[in-house]
Amino acid sequence: MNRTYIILGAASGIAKAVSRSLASRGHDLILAGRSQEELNLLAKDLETRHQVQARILVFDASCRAEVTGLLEASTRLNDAQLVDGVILAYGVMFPQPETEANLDLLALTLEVNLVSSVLVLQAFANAFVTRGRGVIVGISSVAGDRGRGSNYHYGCSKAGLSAFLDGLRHRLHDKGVHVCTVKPGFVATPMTDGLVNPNSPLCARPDQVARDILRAIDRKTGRIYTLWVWRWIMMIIRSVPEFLFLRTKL
Amino acid sequence: MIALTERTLSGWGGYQPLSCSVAEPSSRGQLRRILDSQVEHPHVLARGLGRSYGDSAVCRGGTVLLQGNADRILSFDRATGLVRCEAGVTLADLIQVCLPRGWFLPTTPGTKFVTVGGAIAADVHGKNHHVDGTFGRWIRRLTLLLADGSERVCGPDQDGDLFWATVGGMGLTGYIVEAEIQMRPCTTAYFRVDYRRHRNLDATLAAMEETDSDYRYSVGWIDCLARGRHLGRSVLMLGNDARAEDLSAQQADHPFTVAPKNRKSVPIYFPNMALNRLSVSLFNEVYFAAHPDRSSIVDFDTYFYPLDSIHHWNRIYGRRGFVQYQALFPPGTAEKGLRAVLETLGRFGLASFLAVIKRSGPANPAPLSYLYPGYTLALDIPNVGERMLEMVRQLDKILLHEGGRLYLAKDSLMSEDTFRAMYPRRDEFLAVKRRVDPGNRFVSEQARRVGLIVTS
Ligand SMILES: Cc1cc2nc3c(=O)[nH]c(=O)nc-3n(C[C@H](O)[C@H](O)[C@H](O)COP(=O)(O)OP(=O)(O)OC[C@H]3O[C@@H](n4cnc5c(N)ncnc54)[C@H](O)[C@@H]3O)c2cc1C
Ligand SMILES: NC(=O)c1ccc[n+]([C@@H]2O[C@H](COP(=O)([O-])OP(=O)(O)OC[C@H]3O[C@@H](n4cnc5c(N)ncnc54)[C@H](OP(=O)(O)O)[C@@H]3O)[C@@H](O)[C@H]2O)c1
Repeated sequence: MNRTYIILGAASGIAKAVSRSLASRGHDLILAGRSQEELNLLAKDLETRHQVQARILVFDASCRAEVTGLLEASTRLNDAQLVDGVILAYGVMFPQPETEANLDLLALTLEVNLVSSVLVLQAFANAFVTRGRGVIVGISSVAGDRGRGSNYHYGCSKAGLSAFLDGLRHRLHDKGVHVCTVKPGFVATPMTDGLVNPNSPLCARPDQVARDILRAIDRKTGRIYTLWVWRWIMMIIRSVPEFLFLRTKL
Repeated sequence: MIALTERTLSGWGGYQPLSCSVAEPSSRGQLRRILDSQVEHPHVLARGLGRSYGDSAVCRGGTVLLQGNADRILSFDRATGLVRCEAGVTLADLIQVCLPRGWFLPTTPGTKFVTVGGAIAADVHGKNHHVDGTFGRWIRRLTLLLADGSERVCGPDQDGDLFWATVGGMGLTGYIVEAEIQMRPCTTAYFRVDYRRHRNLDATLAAMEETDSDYRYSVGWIDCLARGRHLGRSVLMLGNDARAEDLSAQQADHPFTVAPKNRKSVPIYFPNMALNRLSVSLFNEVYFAAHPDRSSIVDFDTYFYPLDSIHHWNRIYGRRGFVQYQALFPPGTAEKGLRAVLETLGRFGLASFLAVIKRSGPANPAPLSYLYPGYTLALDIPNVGERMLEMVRQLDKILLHEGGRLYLAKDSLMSEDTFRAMYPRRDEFLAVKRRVDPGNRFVSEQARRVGLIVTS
């Protein structure tokens, strides 16, 4: 059935792949993000390739007024029953030494990855509950599974997001709303450009992540790791006793 | 700030890889910012899918810009067949979008894994050159980013000098951002192909001249190990667009759908010289025997892109790689020139699986566009070091003597003097480059080698 998904952070590497997969199934899209120019290019591409409708919505998650604007827009979309699913795919990750030294940057990380994300998803959840259906996909990260000395600022924003999604799923699982937490490991996108070797077997291509996300939507899975090996890697990392963990460099 | 990574780059031939700084802009804005920062990025070069064989898309001491994110098809008018897209879109993408709606590429090289930017920059040609000309002929408009960061729109009727210098200009006039391409209408995804064997070079050339007017597509495979009276024996593959009534009932049900091919991959580099004379000659015997004269209906993938079904086929030449050698001769000297080339190959015993012959049609206004009327022969030559270099020197001599020309998209070795002799319109090109890029911000290793740079 033809549905409409709103993609938050539609210009991100992962989001582009997800949008293409959704459009190739005939779903219409609302692309939300920061750059009007990029969103326009992406929307035209989806319309041309897949003959779906793609509209755009410009907002900046670091600006509370614009997040409020997005919330209002989402209320209107929901009132008109225009949205069937929401996919949260924006985020920032700064090198940790920078967020340690510059607390504004740390605040920005929390504002974008956690505060704005939680506010927006909660608004959609409220609307979906009333309607008794809907899909909420939040892209969190393996970095939220255990704080590590080298990346716990980003990690804590993602841990917060994961906890929010866990709770939301818990509350809504019998209300017809599917909540999915996506925990990518490494993905070859602009976020990791120059940080991660894209040819490493632990690094996914965005289209692999998109495939896993679509499968999770189809099967109504609650939590996925992508690539799947990360489930086991994180299980090990989480289970290392603290006294040993403190001696590692991670 | 955009991340720069050091990567070892070469062309498809894998000949002499070099370490380069590479960046992959994630958005149009980021691309503009790079071109705006002359100080941080004094030299830049666009790179498509790296299917040019030599060092056309390699640049030391500069920023090589990948186009993985510039892959958006912006509009397609199914009534007129006009498509507008970013330069990083591949020909495979265009086929996927346009073919089901009844439009095919106006012309295509022997692989669909090239970008629109690369196809324009090399002004590529296909089996239908004698009828439809090069890729550049079908471009209606280009949007460029120039060396000073400014944006410029050009086309055959708008700053034609800049347009035609960019067509075939190997990325040296500016960065192609968007292009408008006129596709060609088709009624099926199939082609009616006649296979014809010819016993030697004379017969091959005569047949091409005689039959070209009956076929939109014509190309031949030459057995370059055949000697003596068999020198130049060939299999010609002559094709026309299939009509709906040519198809089997099963094909006619979905005339634009072709089942995807099983793709095989060459997982590792073959040991050097796995491809010796014996294996190639065996291959050639089998190939020749497997192509008796016949006619058949084949899908576009099988007809245009036989090599695309084998991923990384370039690895069969081993880690030292290979060079491509594409020679063009005018009609008057073609027979003599081709014979001399084939004899030289035989004398050196350097095996080439893929020797492709094609009759070319009229040239276009682009000063660096490769083809003029005549015959072109493309060869793979394994890199065996000095013996390969010596053979190439001898082949170059033959070409210079017979008024022949080499193709920049395939070249790895041409010297500046050879280039000047082969491309008499070089100065026209450089006059445009002087206007839009006097500081040689756009530069490649090939441009440095053949002297495609503005000097004061
Ligand atoms: C198996 C095979 C078969 C082939 N058959 C044919 C054939 O039949 N006919 C033919 O003509 N060619 C043929 N080629 C050559 C190929 O079509 C050309 O080399 C083509 O340019 C490759 O495109 P690319 O996207 O890989 O570009 P690259 O090889 O990455 O780059 C080629 C040139 O294009 C420039 N460029 C790329 N993008 C841009 C841009 N956005 N703006 C400005 N400049 C740009 C680069 O700077 C470089 O100079 C073949 C190649 C292979 C591997
Ligand atoms: N790549 C990985 O290895 C990896 C691993 C685990 C989790 N993730 C998560 O996956 C998600 C997608 O990331 P990606 O890897 O695809 O990275 P990406 O391509 O860098 O995308 C990040 C996106 O976030 C947007 N964004 C940043 N700040 C914003 C703001 N203030 N307001 C609105 N949008 C903003 C960016 O917008 P612009 O396009 O305008 O800059 C960009 O589109 C993120 O949540 C990330 O944390 C990624």
